[in-house]
Amino acid sequence: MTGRSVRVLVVVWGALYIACLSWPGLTLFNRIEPKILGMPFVMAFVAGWLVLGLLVLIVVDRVVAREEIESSDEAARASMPDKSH
Amino acid sequence: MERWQLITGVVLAYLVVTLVIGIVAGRRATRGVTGYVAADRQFGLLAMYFVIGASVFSAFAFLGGPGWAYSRGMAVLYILSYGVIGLAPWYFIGPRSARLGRARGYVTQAQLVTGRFPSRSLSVLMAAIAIIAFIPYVMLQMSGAGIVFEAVTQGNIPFWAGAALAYGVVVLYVLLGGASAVGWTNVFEGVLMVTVAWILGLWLPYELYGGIGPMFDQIAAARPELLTVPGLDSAGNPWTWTAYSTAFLSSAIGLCMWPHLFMKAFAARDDRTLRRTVVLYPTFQLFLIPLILVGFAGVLFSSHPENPDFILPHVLLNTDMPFLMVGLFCAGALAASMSTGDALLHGAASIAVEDAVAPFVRFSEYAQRRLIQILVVVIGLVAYYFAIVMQPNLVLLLLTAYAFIDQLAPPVYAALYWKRATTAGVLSGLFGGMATAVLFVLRPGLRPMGIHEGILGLIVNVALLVMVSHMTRPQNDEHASGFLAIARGLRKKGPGPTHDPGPRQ
Repeated sequence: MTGRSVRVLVVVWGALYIACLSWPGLTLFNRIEPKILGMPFVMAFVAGWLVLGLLVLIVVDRVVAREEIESSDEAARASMPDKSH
Repeated sequence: MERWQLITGVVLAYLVVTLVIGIVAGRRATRGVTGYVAADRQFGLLAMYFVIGASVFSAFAFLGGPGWAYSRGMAVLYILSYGVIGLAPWYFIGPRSARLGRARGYVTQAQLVTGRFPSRSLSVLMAAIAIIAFIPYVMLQMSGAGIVFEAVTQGNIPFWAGAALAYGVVVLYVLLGGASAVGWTNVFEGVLMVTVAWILGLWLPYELYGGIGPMFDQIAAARPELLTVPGLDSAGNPWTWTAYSTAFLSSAIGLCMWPHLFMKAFAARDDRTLRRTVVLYPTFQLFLIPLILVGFAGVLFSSHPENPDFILPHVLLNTDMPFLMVGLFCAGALAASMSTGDALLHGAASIAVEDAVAPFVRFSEYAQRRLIQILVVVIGLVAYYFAIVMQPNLVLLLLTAYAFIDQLAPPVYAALYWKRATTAGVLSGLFGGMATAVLFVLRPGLRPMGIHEGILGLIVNVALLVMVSHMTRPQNDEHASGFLAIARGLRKKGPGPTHDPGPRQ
């Protein structure tokens, strides 16, 4: 995954998050049954979005960290000739 | 010894440990403004995780959250929802702000924004907004502490004395230790409150109802209106979807605009630390679930407190539990209150000095530090006075504070991302947004469809920012590009002034 597709992923996730956890999205999941881990469905649904958020952020962070390492490698390579003087 | 005395003993022991941690941590920081306000920019991942988590989660979450679940049902889900989406933008703006902080010496949010949009009025206006929003928030924390003491000691330590005792300890360690004391006490307080919340939230439904599922079955039979969104309003009537959705939106936008959060970004060691804090944050947010379960456990409880914010201590004290556990739970609630209150007192005082006084008067770092310390005490006393006189409802106070904090979002995003924004645009947007928010806070009946006043203010704010910026001359290209280049990490130092904290001692 590239830095650009990660940014798209974040925006899509954010938009879905807001749409699903407020009006009108949440009205579709606004039920008590079936219960999940004992919690009413709507509460488990919100909790599920938090867990998904954690996963999305982990993916984003891996890509950003990799990009940073690559760009600092490039910077190091670019500055090599200077050091040889 | 009576049971309440034993429980009080546990709570007092917690206060002593916190004080010792605060004082020891504070001794390790340097004595300048950067040391006192930004902890010498030395917070690692462990400290940052708990500093952010514990300063976001306050007495509001620990007492107000269960209070909402108990009295307003699933309306409480908005509190569960906004944290993760609210903090996510911080993944990007946190490191941007921190880079500028390191390059130019900023320690507050207003210094960052006025670094891009030079204006002393803007600096003072931002400081005023921060302090106006902080005072109700500190009041809320103090009432939380008062509630815990009054309930635990069965009124033997009244509300006013409990709040004074807890905040006496807070003021003491903030005075002596500054940002380092706030950080390291937050680690201790954070661990305590999270552990306590999970144990209590999972244990209580089993003890009272035989499980989480059976608990909700019984509530569904007796009070089904509590178990679907948007739940009830404070009077017990059905809440509206617009009010629910805009409360969620307003809190999500405002969450990463809290000025004390920016001060914590300036205290982080590096960008990786800040980013990882945001990534791990949902794990902290999940701890609201057990607290919500505690609130629901109170719905069919045999007796009921007068004020819903008392539900957690009320259920605890009326259930057969060992005194040590009850004491630790109350200490956890106190920790939630104090870990936010300390950051707020420290933040409000630092902002008042750095953004409202320092731009006009040149004085030494020593004098700045001393003035911050005096203001910690003054602001603490003002908030304490109001908290005792008004005894406010916890959640309503916070929602009002968010109406003002939301207005800081357009200036911050414009400073970090929008090259065409101008000082005049930012100033007029902020003025317009604040005026709108204040109007609807004072006259809530005028709000169209119950839309949250923060969102109404933001609409005016953004419209003015865009229009006025386009009508005024663009900023000097070198200045704006230099600022944005540092923000993006493309340049270490740009042209333009570094922030001058005044002549050195």
